[in-house]
Amino acid sequence: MSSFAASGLYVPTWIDILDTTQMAINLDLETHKLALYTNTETPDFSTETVYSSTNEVSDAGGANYVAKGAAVTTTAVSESPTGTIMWDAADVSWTPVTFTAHGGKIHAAALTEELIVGITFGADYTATAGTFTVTWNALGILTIDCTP
Amino acid sequence: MTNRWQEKNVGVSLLKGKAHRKPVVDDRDGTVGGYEVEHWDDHQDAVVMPKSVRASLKIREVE
Repeated sequence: MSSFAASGLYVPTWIDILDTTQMAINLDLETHKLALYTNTETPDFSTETVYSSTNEVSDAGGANYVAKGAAVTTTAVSESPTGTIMWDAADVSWTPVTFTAHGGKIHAAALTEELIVGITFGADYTATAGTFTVTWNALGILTIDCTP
Repeated sequence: MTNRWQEKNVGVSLLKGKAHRKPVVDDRDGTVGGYEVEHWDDHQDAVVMPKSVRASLKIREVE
């Protein structure tokens, strides 16, 4: 059984968005970053608050993966399908890199690196002196179903 | 890189430029979640297609 076994929203961040803290997480920003992690990482969606380099991947072949990850760009928040909020973005890639990743965490790099969402890949993926690409689902990175 | 001797070797010349795409199965449900591409020169690409993270508010009226 893998450690990075589930995806989820980071509860402390979403509480701060909704409560008197009024944390300004703007999902349309082009500055949020996707950091990748090995299967040693076990996300805790109730207690983790900000980015950490623990168990983050490192590029064995060079420095084309930089700590804290790469920017998530071409972001869009829309209603799709009806009654559902969808957050989508362009695919993210690194090249050439050498590492194995099992999941990723998107954090608000322009604020103080608050964690937004953790995403398991469901398996180890290895790039060796090649390109590592995360292709977002047609349903988006994240959807919030608001329908009854 | 291949030298002139290797270029004459049928095995090498058949492999040159070739790539093999391997599906990667999700540990949790057995579905294909992406793939890795092995190239003839030993470099490998990875393409992850993660499932969308779906949050449901479970909106309903209660008494």
